[in-house]
Parts: sequence; C-alpha cells; structure tokens
Amino acid sequence: MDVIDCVENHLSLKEFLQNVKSVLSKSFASSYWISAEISEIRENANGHCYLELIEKNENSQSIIEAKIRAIIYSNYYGMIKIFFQNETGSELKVGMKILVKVTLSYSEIYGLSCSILSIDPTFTLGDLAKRRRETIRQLKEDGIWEMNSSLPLGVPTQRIAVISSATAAGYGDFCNQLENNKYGFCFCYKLFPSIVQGDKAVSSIISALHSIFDEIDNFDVVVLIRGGGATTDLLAFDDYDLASEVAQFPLPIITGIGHERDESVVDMVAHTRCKTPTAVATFLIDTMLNLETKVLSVGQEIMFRLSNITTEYNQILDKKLLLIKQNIAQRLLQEEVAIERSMLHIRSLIKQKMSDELHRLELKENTLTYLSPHRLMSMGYSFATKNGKVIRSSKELKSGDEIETFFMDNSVTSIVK
Amino acid sequence: MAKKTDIKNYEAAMEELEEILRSLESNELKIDDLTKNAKRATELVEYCKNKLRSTSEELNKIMES
Repeated sequence: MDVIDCVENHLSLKEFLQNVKSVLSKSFASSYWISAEISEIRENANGHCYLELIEKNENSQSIIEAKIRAIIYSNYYGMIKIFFQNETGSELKVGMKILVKVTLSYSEIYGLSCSILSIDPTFTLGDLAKRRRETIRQLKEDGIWEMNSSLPLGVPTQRIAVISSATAAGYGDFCNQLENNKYGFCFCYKLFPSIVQGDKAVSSIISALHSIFDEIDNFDVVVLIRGGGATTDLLAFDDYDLASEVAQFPLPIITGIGHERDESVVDMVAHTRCKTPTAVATFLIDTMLNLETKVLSVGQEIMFRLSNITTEYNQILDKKLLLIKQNIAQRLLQEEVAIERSMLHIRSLIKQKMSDELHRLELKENTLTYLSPHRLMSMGYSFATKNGKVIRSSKELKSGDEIETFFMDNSVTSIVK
Repeated sequence: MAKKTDIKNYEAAMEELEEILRSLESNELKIDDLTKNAKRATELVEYCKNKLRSTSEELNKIMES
C-alpha cells in the first residue's frame, strides 16, 4: 500500500526543489548583512566574481562550520572591487573576513548560493588590524620582535643582497642611486629576484631570504624593496611567517617597500625602514659617509693631539733651554761679582802691603839716618883705622902702630905710644 | 702609500685608530713613538678611505657566485 501511495503522491525532483525555492524565496525575501571568510575567489571572463564563503570554528581554525557559494555579478563587481580596494588598499582575497549584504538565491540545478550586493570594507579593515595586532603580539611573545633591529650594521656596509622584482622600476632607481653616488663609494649588490606582491609574495620572499642565507658570508646587509607597481596590495608584509623570517634573519634587513599607509609589520621588525628603494640607497650611502666622516675625524683628532703634544714638548724644551740660559747668565754674573770682589780685595791687600812696606822703609831709613857715621861724626864722634881696618878695641893696638883717625872733615895719622 | 697587508679589515683599522686616540688622550704614548703613530694613523685613514671606494676581490666574489 505504501508503495502504491508513494507512486501516486510523489513529487518530481524539479517540483520538490521548486517548492524549496518557493519557501526559501518567501522566507528570505529581503537582503541580509552577513560576515564570513573568503575561502575561494575567482573572477570569470564574463566579469562575474565567484566566491566560496565559510565560517570557521572559533577555537579550531581547521573546523569549518558553515559554507556557501557566493557570486558578485559583474554589474556590482566593478563597483565593489574598486570601492573595496580604495578603502582597504587591498584586493579581495582568500583568508579575508568580509561583511557583505547578500540575498539568498536558490537554483534547482546549482543549489543554494548568495548574491553579494554590497560590502562594508571597515569590517575587513578592522579584522586586518586585529590580525596585524595579533601578529605583532605573537612576534613579541616569540621574543624575536627586536632581533633584526638590534643587529649592528656591518662596517662597512658594502655588500648588498637585494630582494626585489627584477623588472621593478624601484630596483632600477635603487641601482642607479647606488652606482652614481657623488662620494664615489663602491657598492656591490646581487639581486635575488622575488615576487613582492600578491598571494605568492610571502613564499617567494622567504625563499629569497633562504637563498641569501646559503651565501650569507658574502653580504653585509639585505635590502627588501618594492616599487613601481600600480597596486598597493601590501598584505604580504603583515604576514606572520614573513615577519618572523625577517626578524630572525642574521643580517640587518633594510626595507623600502614604498607605501603611503602605516608601516607594515615587516617594516617594524626590519633593521631599518625606508619609504622607497631610492631612500634605501640614500641610507646606505649616508651610512658609508658617516663611517668615513668618523674615520677622518678620528684621524684629524689624532694629528691634532700629536701636534699639540709636539708643541707642548717643544714648549717644555724651550722653557728648559731658557732656564738653562738664565742659570748660566746668573752663574756668570755671580762669577763676575766674585771676581770683581776678589780684585778689590787683592787691590786693597796690595795697597795695604805697599803702605806697610813704605812704613817699614821709613823706619829703616830713620834708623839708618840716626845711625849714620856722618851724623855721629857731626856730633863729635870719630873712628880710627889700622891698615884700613876699623879699630874696635884697644887690644888690637900695640906701641908704635900707625893709626888713622877720621873726623867729619878729614883724617889725621898718629903713632900709638 | 699605506701597507695594506698588515691591516686586517675596516673594523680593525677603525679600532686601531681609536686605540691610538685613546692612548693619546690618556697620555700613555711615548714621545719616541709620536712620529710612528702619526704615520700609522695616516696609513689607517688612507686604508679606510680606499676600502670604501675601491672594488676589492672580496666584493667581486659575490657577483661571481
């Protein structure tokens, strides 16, 4: 009986699904704002954009708890795409959380899907900012946040590994700036070509970093530049994996990613952030200039001090020489004074001696005068001689001797009786 | 010309320069060594200036690999 019943009362698939469609379209007639994550997205040649929207378990990212196909018809897509990009600086892409206004549609053939009519980019921005904060927090928690920025810059920083797209205008600017620096500094750089925007940027840059690591002894510094492209898609530079690699890279990394909005997480963990590739080149040239200025100033300081010391010692020598001269002059003067004094002394001694001598002479003269025969004879004394000899005693005489007696005026001869 | 053979690298040259300066500042330098030090300082400065400007073998190496 059941079987007969079924045979008579069944619906065809189409009828059944038409019923479903009818109920759904009555129950979900209006549009709804829903939040979801994009798990797939592709643009079709006809200008429609096909997506798959999902919601993951809050605690476990691998568990998908809801999923639906979605479409943005070309008449909406053109506008939504530009609006979203202008507001967020990024294209719609896998992994992004979006808040969209949808209507539910049901097709008997394709099943349930959403049609996206509008998007609220502030939701995505909020989510991106939240994820960015999360990435920063994680890097700090890992203890690697300041690892690259605390590395010392090589002395000198001359050997440069460049990560860039080979064809980027920014790379050309960078090379040009380095090669034509007005100070004549020599730089050597090697390009490690990489995709620096879009979905593949993260893995491509990480693989370039690994290639540099393989010959790390050849380089002093890594430069990560991007520029010249039209797109402003920079999400890759907020990626945890890339930021983690950059933070832990053993050579200082200098970024010149070239963008207007706030610096990316990669900029933050890098050694030095410059705005553009040209600015990176300028930074490297300035670093060399600072090095040279330092060397020159130390050299000058040494020469200045050396010449100061020489001057100082010359002055000391001059002073000593002057002292010696003064000493000698002083001594000479003293000697002269001493000599002069001696001379005076000698002179006075001589004078004294002469006067003494004169005095003695006078005394003698007086004595002589006193004792002179002439004087005695004038007083009445006379003397007698025998045979020319003075007679001093009568004993020398005998009778008959002839003697001559002398007086003042003449002499007489007489005979002794 | 500076003798390059006895200067290890830029950093070592810079350190030696600063060492000379230190010994000058602290009056450790003997008068007999003044000329020697002046000559050495000139050599070191010359070496550093050259190092920043000339392409050494070491630098060329990275382009070959």
